[in-house]
Amino acid sequence: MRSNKKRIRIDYAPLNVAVSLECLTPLSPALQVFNADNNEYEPDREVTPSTFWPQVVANANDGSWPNQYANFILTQMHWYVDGIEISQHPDWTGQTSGGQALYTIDESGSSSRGALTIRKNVPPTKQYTLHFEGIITDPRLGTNIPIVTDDFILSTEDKSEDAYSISIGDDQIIQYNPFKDKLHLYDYKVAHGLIAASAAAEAAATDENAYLRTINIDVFKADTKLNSGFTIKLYRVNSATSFTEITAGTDEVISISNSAIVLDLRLVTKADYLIRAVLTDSNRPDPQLQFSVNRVYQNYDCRPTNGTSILPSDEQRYDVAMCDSEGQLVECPENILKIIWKTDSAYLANLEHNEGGHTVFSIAKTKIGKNFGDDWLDVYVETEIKEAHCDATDENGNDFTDENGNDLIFN
Amino acid sequence: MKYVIADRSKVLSYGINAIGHRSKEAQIIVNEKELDVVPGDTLNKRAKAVDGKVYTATGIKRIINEGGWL
Repeated sequence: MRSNKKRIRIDYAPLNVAVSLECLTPLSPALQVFNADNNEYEPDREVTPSTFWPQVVANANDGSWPNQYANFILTQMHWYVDGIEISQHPDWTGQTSGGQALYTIDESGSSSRGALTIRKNVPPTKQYTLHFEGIITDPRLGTNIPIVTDDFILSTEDKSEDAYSISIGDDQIIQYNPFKDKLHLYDYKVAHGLIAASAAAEAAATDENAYLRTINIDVFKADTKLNSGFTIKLYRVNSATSFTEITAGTDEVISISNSAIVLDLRLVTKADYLIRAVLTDSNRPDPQLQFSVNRVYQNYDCRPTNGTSILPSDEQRYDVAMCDSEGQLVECPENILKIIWKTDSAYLANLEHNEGGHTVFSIAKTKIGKNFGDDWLDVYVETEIKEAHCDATDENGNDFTDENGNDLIFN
Repeated sequence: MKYVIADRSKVLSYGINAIGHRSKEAQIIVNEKELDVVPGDTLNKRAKAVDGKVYTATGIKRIINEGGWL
């Protein structure tokens, strides 16, 4: 007798894992305040510690993973400070004044497993970058899934009477929405001859939603606003510990002065920046402030508008796109949207014609039929919001400029 | 900043998360900002609402150093 055996397995869906970092003690946060008048930290982590929790959520699309909250199966848990395992970091091996460890890691089998409780006060001159790494094991597939959180920074603000500080006259999360940018629309209309250039119209279009964003800066010593004794520098934040200085004329940076920074938000999809006031004559740390810029992708509806029938004698077809968003008609939608015109007929589907706000195409090219069953044509647009602009360069990376030497940009 | 040693169950009843807080038997230590959710127009009144007593940073550290606080 002969037999032939084949092993088959249950085909589990892979595990989808999401990890986020949460401060479980929002009133003992990552940022402390140091009051030099009484030499106290507020809050004092020796009294009310700070706890940070790497929340791990796991799920399988086929429902075969039973526990969505997966912290309790974390293994190989390690917290890192400035890239060094916390137990090996020289600043973290001591004890509090009461003889307790400067930190503890929750190794219980509870949902808070992995949480880091910190009893260390951070001096104003220091800051630490922390992150968590661990493993969760998926026994269904026999795989180990690494868990790594984002970095977060422990730091302390000096609130003593002679402390320096910096503030900006803007949100620390600046959002740019091309749909609301009247200056961008003004530029487009002028460039396409739809309106004449006008300084008054340009000024009227330069409001809080314009791509030219002026971020006012104030530097203080205690409560006194400073006008000198410092130089403003702008850095792009690459990671929690990596910054690159950017100067006026570089990419999106239009100008930098001691009172304001001007950015061209058309060139930004998402970026984090650090403003630092470099003090001329001080042993104190330079005051600095981080802010970010995000592009908003607003919902919209875009569609063809020509509903007339095709006459037997017609050779070409014209159509124009209509777009609305948040109840408002969008002017010149091709300025913001990549609009691709397409047709389907009984004999040729997905035929692409052109990109833009309107189309003129040959009807014969669509392969439309001549009889009742096939003399139809679907005209439609495929659209997406255009990405951020970037510098126009040749194949060697040389910038294209206008006759005045200004860099040209496109998207 | 002031700190309060309070009744743990009363503190939890105001929605304050106990995780990360020092505690000893039925007592818990919170800072003055955490008690902002408790009714009362002064810290002393808010502390009283959770059967608590207010301490300075120096005073509460002395108590913590006496031992027994997790």
